[in-house]
Amino acid sequence: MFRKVSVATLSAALIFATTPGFACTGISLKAEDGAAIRARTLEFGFPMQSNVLVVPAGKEFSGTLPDGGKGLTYTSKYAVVGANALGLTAILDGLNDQGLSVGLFYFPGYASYTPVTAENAKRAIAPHEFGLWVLANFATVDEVREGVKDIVVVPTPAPGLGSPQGMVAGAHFFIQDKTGKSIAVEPVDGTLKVHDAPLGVMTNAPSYDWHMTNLANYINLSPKDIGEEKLGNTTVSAFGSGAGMLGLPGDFTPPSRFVRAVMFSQAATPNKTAEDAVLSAFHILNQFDIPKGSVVNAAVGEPTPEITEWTSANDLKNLRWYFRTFEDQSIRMVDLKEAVAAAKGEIVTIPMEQTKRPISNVSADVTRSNHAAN
Amino acid sequence: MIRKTAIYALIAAFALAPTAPAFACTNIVLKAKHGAVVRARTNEFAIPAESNVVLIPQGTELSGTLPDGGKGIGFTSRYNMAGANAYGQAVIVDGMNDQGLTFGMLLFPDFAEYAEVTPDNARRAMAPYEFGNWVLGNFTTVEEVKKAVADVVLVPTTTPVLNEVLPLHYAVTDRSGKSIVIEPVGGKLKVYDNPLGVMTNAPGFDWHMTNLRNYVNLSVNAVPPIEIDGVKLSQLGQGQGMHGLPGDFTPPSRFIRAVVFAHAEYPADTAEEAVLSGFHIMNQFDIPYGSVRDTSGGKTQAEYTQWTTASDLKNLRFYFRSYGNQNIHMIDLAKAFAAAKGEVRTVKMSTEQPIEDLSTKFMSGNQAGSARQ
Repeated sequence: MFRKVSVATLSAALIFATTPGFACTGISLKAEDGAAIRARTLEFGFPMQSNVLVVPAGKEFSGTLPDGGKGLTYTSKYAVVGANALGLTAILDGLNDQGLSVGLFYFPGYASYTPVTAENAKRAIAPHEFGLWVLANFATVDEVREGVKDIVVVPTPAPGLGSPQGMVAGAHFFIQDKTGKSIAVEPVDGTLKVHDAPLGVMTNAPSYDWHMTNLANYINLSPKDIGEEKLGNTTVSAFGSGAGMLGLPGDFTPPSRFVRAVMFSQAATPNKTAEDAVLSAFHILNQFDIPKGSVVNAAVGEPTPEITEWTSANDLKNLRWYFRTFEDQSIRMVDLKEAVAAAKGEIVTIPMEQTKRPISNVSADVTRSNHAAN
Repeated sequence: MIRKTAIYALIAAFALAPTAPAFACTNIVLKAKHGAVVRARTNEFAIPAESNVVLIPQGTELSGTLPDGGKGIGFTSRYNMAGANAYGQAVIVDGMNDQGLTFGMLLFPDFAEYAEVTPDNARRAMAPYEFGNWVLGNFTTVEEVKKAVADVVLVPTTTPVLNEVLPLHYAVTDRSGKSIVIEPVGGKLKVYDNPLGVMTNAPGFDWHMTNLRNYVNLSVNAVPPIEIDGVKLSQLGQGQGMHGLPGDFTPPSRFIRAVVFAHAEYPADTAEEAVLSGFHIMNQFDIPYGSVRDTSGGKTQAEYTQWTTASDLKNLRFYFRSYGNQNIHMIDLAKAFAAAKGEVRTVKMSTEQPIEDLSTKFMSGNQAGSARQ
């Protein structure tokens, strides 16, 4: 169960010492119109100040080495839309104009990055730069599977993460293309390990194969109700619907969230269109909207409640990125093609938080009742 | 664990009828700083309840309905009341009055036992679904309701449209934050104090409160690492203190989760913040479509959360969202009743999700230009 001590001691030290709690849950749905929908929540112990980044094709980017030097350089082939963090040109969750999407998920205690060498420095990027690199360069999951062999992810701190100089984000990545094919990419023992992810679910530690094996502990669960049981002359009946799920773990640890996310997304009845599936995905992810105060992180300084900062859904058919935030639960959307066209070749941002109150006052919308009082 | 066979065979027959749709609800109460009280709940049903918000002004003549269709109790409402109805009826399933009293009916299958109608009690009788109108139409506080429930009986009258007797129990909270649960048991209305403000469905309320003792090990805090014979074990992620929290949607498991989430909540500064927190907590009980399937009656139906409400008892505002429209809507009782001009009126509960298109709402000054590349 416990991994070998990481060889990348620098990153390990930075990750362990000061990391705030950070949990995420990812699910996938497929609509009857063929659209693949990938959705996720993002939790963090402090505000990530995320906004939507619009990145046109043809932009120059470079990886950052731990000493601040330049690593891998590339020119983006595809236009990208997604959430950034801390003002960085980085993608925590988003998609490109080929219908490929990526999500960064926290992977504390397990992520171990490659030490920089003179040989690999020109192929190196930071963990927080991985998402944009994937979306800027590839169209399908199979391409990513090949592409990750050519790079190394090195322990470069993300500026502003936890402190001004930042710290190394212990992360793993979930990638899905427009056919619905999915992989989890995990930096383990200094290399990038690729796991097939046919159920489309992702949470956090431990590693992806552990979670998939753990599902065998829950094959008794069913969305169907349970009828009466006769025990001798005694009949025992369920209190209500839902008894088929008795044993489903309700806590917010990564293994328990993984099991719930598999159950809810697999039980979801088919949705006709991509938009129906997006709305269903938001309903499912409501289950992972951690109530403020129910998970308290006391790892660093004052105990802080972990909250779901935002929830997003990627429509890989129509190339749309949807989101809602903790402050405003109404659903908002960015259409990649429209946004990129309006950006006119520039990298631009769309604010995720607005000033308006997220409540519709309908007090005066009274209509005559069809039925008078009885 | 198994209750005695109901002596009210008629009701039992209705309650257990194989056509009764599954119906689950979760109820919480939050108290903000400076005394504001918010009660919130979800409403699940396997068939659409076609709910809207009904406004019933004070001075409306209301009456109870007997099983044979005759008239039971008659009264004139003393307070303006508003809330979610069902099937176009002027009946409040969940709502509040202008005195800051709030009421919710929740399903109580296999356990609700109503009184038989007699010549003696008919004039004090009403249908189970009419109880909310009587509570909100007549009282201002939980204490008043407590005193008055002995004066009425609930009789097994079928619910319009559904044509069955709904097995129900009730949650009542007043603006001071005092809460009670009222359960029809053995033909009488039994009242329980509800200091935690949580309610779900079967079995009886006292069973749920005792069951909480099975979960005193749960904690919102992280668990420190331990060492066993030199082997160090530490939590895999945040939230380990809650390991053992049941995650299914049966009423006992929802009761436990609701107590944990509502009481772990940081007190809100204002009533409106408590309302928004209430909706976040109720997200946990927004049953994902397909995850709970009712197969009774040979048909498979998915049970889902049709709507969620929150009643702000300080500012007299009723908030709601529906399965189809997850945005939060609000009616201010004073404004709504002014617009209703003394008539029974409804405000539509939207079921179409508006999605705001931000594709070209770029940040001014193009702050991304300064982002690190």
